[in-house]
Amino acid sequence: MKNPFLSTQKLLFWYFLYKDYLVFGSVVAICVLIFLIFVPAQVRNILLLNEQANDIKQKVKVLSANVDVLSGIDSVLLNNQLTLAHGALPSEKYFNGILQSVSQASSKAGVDVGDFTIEIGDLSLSNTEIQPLSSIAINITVNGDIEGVKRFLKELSHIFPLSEVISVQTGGLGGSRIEVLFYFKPYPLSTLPNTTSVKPLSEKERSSLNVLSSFQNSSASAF
Amino acid sequence: MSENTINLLPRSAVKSVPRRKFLNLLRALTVIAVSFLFITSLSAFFVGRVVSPDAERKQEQKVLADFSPLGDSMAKLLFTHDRLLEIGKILNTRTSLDAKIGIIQSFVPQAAGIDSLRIDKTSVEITVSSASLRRIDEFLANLSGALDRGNTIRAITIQGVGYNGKGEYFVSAKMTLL
Repeated sequence: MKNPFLSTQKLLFWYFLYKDYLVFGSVVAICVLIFLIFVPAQVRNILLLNEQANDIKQKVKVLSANVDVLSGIDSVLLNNQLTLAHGALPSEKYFNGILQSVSQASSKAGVDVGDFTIEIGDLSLSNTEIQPLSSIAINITVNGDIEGVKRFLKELSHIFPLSEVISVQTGGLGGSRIEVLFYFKPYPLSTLPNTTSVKPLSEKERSSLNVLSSFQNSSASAF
Repeated sequence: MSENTINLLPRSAVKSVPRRKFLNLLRALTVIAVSFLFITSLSAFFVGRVVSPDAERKQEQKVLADFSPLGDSMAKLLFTHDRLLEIGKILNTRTSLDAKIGIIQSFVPQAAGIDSLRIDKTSVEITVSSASLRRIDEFLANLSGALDRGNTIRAITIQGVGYNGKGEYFVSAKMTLL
């Protein structure tokens, strides 16, 4: 059986023999340990801070550019442009506008509109963040000759909301059948982040607005 | 140790020389380690202060304050861009069927009439009738000429030519448009 007293004595002997080594060795070991724990964490922290600073710098850059762009925009003109664009391409199934445009096109073309059917489709909006361009299909019966139908199509293409005639069937009894798509596009569901970069309207967009201005605006209302 | 060397130190002291050297080395190493740790900590502290995003945050707050009253305009501008992008696509891609009907009508001779017409973006089905076979022939020749020119019609299928029993000849044709 081992004698614990002897063992302690042995330990004390070794301790006094290597006391100096033990103290300095321990200090070096602790320094190395602290270094290994502290330095990688600190480096990670510095990198993270640097990344945050860069992100904020980028955000500030975009925001400053946005402030410059938006400060130079005439808000009344912007309202008019949005009203015009919204009238041409509504954000929802704008049945009143559709009926008005059909009625107005027929009266201008000098033709009678007989019966018509509207394919309402799904009334709920898509859950996707970016709402796709959508359309409502309408089948219209126009009572008139082929020239009347042509006039009707021409008038319809210049009236809001924007539409596209898909097919025309004329001849025979019951007038001409016209299939029209009326376009709409819902606004995005999510709120836009203020860090989205904005630009003033391009030449192409201004040109589109000029084209829209030349069309008869039957449905644009105050936004 | 060489045999000629005379060592006057006691035997225990001779043994302690390398030990003392090692101890001195260890002391030096300790000083270096502690100094290095101190310098590293100090450097990390100052570098951390330098890369701190506090200044950027202050600038961000300032710009956000400037931006705040313009948020409504930004939303309107983005919505206008969004609308106009789609409007541009619609205006550039929609087909003017009234113009296409006009082109098809131009193939039909004066003394002939269109009995029925079905037209969409890519195809036309038409029935033309006339009391004169010559007008029917003229209509077919016009279609053939348009096909040869290759700017309106891609393909023509004559579905039938006949007599309707009411004194008129008719021709039914199906065309694929360009």
